[in-house]
Amino acid sequence: MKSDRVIEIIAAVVIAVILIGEVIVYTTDQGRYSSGAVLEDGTVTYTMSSGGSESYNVIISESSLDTMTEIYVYYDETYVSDYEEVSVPVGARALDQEYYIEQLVKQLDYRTSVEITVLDASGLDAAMAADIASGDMSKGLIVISGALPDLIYTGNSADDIFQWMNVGGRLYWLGNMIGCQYATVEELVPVDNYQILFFGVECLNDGDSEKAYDAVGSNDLRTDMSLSNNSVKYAVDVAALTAYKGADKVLDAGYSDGTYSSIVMTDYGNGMICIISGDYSNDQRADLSQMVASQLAYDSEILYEDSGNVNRTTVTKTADIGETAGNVSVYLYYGGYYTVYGEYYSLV
Amino acid sequence: MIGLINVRFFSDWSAKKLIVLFLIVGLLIRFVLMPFLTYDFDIYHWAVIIQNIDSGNNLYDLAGYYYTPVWGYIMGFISMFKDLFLNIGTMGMTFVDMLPIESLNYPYHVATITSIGFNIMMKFFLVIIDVIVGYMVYRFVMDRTGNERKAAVGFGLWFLCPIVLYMSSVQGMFDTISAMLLLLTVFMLYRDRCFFAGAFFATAVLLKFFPAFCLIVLVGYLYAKHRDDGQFMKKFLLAMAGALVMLVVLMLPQMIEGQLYDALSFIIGRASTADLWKSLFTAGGIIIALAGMLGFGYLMFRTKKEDADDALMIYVLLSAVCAVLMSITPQYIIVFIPFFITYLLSVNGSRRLFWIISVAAFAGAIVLNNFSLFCSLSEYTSLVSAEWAISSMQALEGTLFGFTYVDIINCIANLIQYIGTILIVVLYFADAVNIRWPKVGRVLYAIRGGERHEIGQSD
Repeated sequence: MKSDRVIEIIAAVVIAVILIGEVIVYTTDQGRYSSGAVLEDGTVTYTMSSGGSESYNVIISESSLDTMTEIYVYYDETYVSDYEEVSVPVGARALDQEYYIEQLVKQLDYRTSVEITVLDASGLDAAMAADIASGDMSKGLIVISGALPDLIYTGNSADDIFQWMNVGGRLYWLGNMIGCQYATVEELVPVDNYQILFFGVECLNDGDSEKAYDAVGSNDLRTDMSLSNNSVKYAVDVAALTAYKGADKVLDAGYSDGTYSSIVMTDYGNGMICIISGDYSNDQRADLSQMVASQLAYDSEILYEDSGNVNRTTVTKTADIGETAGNVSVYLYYGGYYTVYGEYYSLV
Repeated sequence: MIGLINVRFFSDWSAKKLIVLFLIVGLLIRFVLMPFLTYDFDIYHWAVIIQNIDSGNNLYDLAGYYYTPVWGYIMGFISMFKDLFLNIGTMGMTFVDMLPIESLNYPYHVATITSIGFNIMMKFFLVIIDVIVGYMVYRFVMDRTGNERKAAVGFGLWFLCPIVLYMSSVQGMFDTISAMLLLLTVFMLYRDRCFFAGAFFATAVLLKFFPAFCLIVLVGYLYAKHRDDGQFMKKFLLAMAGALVMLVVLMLPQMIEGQLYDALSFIIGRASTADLWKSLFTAGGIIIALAGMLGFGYLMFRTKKEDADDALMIYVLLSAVCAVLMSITPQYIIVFIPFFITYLLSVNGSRRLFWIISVAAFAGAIVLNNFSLFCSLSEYTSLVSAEWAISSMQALEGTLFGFTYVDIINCIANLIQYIGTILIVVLYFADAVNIRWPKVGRVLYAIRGGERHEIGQSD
């Protein structure tokens, strides 16, 4: 070949691109993103900074619930669990409980500063007992095992799980019908009237409806929170629950098939239950992360929403929210449906 | 299109003019396709991978990246480019009116549709690769034939090849990079830069696995070139060192993070499947690929020094052809296309088979993806409606004898592509067939065309 130099340059550039890319992949961290929010005289001033090119969303809301400072994630491989196996792409790891939680923790980690603690059955029992004793209203619990362990739930209204929610705990549930069974180290034990125990009314989707093809019409949380999971398997019938509890005790979000919504939150004592519908999926996990990180509750009122782009700069904006009665909070995140950063600010 | 249109029409044109013509036409087609047509599924995952990188996670921390790491590194570079120079904003959104797409019979669709800006960004890099590979084909043909006009035609055949055009400017698939890395490997071997040849070979294998099946041919080339001067072992060790260094450099993060299994899972996943027919097909494909690797490797080892350069081009082509027979996927053939073009132009072979294979692959890809290609366009512009795109896709999922129209057409296209690909190997043995079965031999000659091109082999 006569003109080797050009190909040599190409070869050098190709290697440089790959090696630079490798360095980028393994050195990029959250340090290039930052944000802040303060409330003063009815005006929220929020600041967003990005070293790259990102879209942003800001949601300012008000709720009666206290700020969550720690979230438990239940995982105990010695206990029986019950969730549907889902198919994954070629090369992907099987989406089992362990991998789901492993990823969930990472996804929460870049969305929130809330402490995340993975607990086994006895650890969860001890933590709940301590919370109940202290009246701590700042804890949450994510359950993806399809069955609560018998140490905290046996189908009895006096069980720890109910006492814990009564004092203010937030239960995030997915992957099966909530409370339909409890788990021991040997078996799953069915529970009668479980829907009454958790909701006071029969309202869960136990039929064939699995997918929703419309957005929830009563609010814009689907786009505000960049929600993607449209499964309504194990979901809550919003109308039935609302008829029983009242509209101020129920908030749905995401997608709806006209009866069931992909995300439903409702009160339980001073705490709440949040049902994220469907079997395990990456979309579902992203939605769960958003709901936990934003700390939206069943009585959250959206006071202000903003979106736009922040490109290699710092953007500072204000929102006039006037007088508020509850706890005001800001959840801002970058990347939209491809969230890369999030932060929650309690402005009480 | 060259080959289809008689190139003699441009007989007054110089090679340089031809290249400029092919370049302009190829770029125009790409620039028109890039914003308007996009296959939703693959590019959705590219956005997920950039999301994972931007969120401070590595390639295998979160779900989304299932390949060996090189493509992920390239996306790391693209992510950096985006952050430094572009204002892409949102990479994509989930659209309610796109949700039915996830319930189609063909499961590889998502309702989260990437933005047109993001699509263009991803494809732009692949178009640059197309140009680079085109240039390398030009240089290779020039080197083999010394004919600048043929070299220009080689550039055109690559740059206007339908499946190449489609994969870079519509589907956003990176098989052209695989072709480029294999070409660079061969180039380095031709230049006797064995360390770099090994380095590029390792990189190619860690991008997509198919080039691995060229290993014995590549080693055989070193042997053929250096068996007489006693330098073989030295050159071989140099190449090994290059490959090892690159292997360690590229895989070190996964070794440290304990993610080696994740990094290799795509290859393992392809090889192990619960479906019996798929398992049999995969096993059969692996046997063909291994047979090709060993057989052509053996022939390469036996090649005379003076024939080694020509033989390397042919045996890399044939080994890669056998390798891609493992899986009927349109984009996989791209890895051998530059070598096929170089071979055809070197022996004045008929381009009929080249066009049949590349058009069949293109047809298979476009039928499979069909109206989903309009998803981005429908959601981010008012040129077409999402409802139209979805209903058109649903219409194509109508069935005949229990098979969808898409399946039937795709199956036919795949079959043509597969038979055509096998024919490349069969045609290589046309001379041997002709001796035993002259009638069959004449048919093969008619398909192959051109000069007899036998590789001299040492005893």
